[in-house]
Amino acid sequence: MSFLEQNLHHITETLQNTLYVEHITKLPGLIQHLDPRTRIICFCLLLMSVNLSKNIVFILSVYVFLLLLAYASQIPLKFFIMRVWMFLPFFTGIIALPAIFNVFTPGNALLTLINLPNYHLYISITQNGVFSAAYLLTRVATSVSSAILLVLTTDWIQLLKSLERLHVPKMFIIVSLITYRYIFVLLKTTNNMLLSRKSRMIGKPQNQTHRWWIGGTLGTLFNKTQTLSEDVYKAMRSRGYANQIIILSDFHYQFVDYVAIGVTFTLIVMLYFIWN
Amino acid sequence: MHIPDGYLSPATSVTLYSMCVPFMAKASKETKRKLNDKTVPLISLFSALSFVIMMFNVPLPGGTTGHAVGATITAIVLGPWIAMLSLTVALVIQALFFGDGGILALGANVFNMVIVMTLSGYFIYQILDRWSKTLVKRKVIFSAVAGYISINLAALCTAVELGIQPLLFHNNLGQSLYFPYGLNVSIPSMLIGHLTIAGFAEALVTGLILSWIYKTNPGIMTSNMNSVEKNYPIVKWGLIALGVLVILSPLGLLAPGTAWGEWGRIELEKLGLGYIPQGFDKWSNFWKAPLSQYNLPQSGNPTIGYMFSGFIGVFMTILVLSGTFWIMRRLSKNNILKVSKKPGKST
Repeated sequence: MSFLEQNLHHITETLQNTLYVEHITKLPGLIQHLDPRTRIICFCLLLMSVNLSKNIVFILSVYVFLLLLAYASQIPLKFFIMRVWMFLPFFTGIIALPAIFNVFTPGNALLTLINLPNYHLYISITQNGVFSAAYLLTRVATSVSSAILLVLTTDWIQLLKSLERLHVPKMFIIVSLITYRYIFVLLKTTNNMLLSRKSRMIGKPQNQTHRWWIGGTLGTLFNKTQTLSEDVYKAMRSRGYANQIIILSDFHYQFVDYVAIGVTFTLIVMLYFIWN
Repeated sequence: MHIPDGYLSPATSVTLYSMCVPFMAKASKETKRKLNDKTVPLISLFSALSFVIMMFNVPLPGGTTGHAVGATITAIVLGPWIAMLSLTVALVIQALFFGDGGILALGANVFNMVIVMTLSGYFIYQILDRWSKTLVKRKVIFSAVAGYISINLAALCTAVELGIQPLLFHNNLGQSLYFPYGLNVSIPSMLIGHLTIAGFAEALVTGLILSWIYKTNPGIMTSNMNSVEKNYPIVKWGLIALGVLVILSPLGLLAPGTAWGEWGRIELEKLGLGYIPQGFDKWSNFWKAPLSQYNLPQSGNPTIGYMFSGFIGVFMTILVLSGTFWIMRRLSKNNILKVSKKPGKST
């Protein structure tokens, strides 16, 4: 695949994915019924507990809890699991794999692979190595799953509005909102530039040509962004923007929200005491 | 280079978050001063652009492709502070919405890819730019060099953060709880990838975009957006960074064990070394430090002793450094500190 197609494919995939995620956030599931602030608080509790824990069984129990939550929220389980495990083996898996050998993690040998004392060559899989790799893999998988669960059930606007209610600076919220909108504008512009290039292309261009195109595309994008930011500024001013930010939101806690936070907290404490 | 959650311990993550705070405060203050009510639209749009640049696959010589961060070019065109804010927002969106990089690890990612890259990229370019003599070709080459160096510095920081994990965080069986490899593995493996592939992607993106901007829109380079305030207090900021480290240094008390390679005689025996090298005894008694073991001879409290030694150490370091700078200033008329006094000349 040439670089044009690669980038086109990548950008289209991102756009498609975002649309699909937005579709899931509108489903009438368990988490979708909770106040977005509750979701963020529960998510933070789970993430912190997973990262502070020193017990693999605890981390795995949290993962099972996340799977149950995803099922109750009508998220297709296959999609939820694959979204983590499609990429994890290639990134974290490759990093974790060498750690199981005695070369990197010395310890009690579980399985001796090569033992040539004459050549001072001894390679084995060690107990400590397997545990070290398992810690990394389970921790990353569970952390990523919890983040994905939050994103799959909460759309970007809800997420930012509830962050603002949780006292994140307004400036940051408004910048993120506009950024999120213009990411798609710029992605679409880029897509069009690449597509128009591809549709006028005959034969196979050199790598060197590709690189000049990259410079041209990104450079043009830079200039366009500058013009666009002026336009956005003028549009904001003409609609009465005077450096003051007001964010409307109609969130209110219900009984079920307190229950959800309580249940999450108790579950973490219970799991902690069971497995320690 | 995005670190996902689970690689770093929460203690490291919190430390790196707190290291970002002073830079972010400074960046938002500078940006507001320069852009006033244009801040929101400009930062938003350039955040979106940074996001798109980070998504781009760059074809490299030799047939491979790589991703660039684009921090250097943004810093050169927009100045380090505006670039810092834009890139941070882009990273936050990547982490929160696209799952690229962790949320606990966000502080670490912002520190490596935003703060280290924008500041180093910008200042390396400013220093090299003195020799460009307003020739665009030279400027482009210098910007590419700055991009190459800055991404490798960021990779080095990432490697150090990852590499200290097994040293500090392992259970009593010796199983590492987070990233399993020490500095001896993490630094080479990060740097090999970045010196060969990602470094060139960043250099290419930086150089190509800058040359395109000079061809089509040179106005943006003279719009004064990228200049930093006169008499840029690099020394002051160095001191603030040092202060943060001093405040954080009590974290060292939490760390069990001794720094790698800094063992004393007793620790060497504990490590299971059957014999002590002969020269060790000879040389270890050669110099008795006044604050040996970072402890005061009289005080019974090791914590106070540790902190006191820390302050003395920092004080001595500052004294030696300022002495060195004073001598350097005396010796050369063209001293290097002059660079910081006239940045922002961009044509």
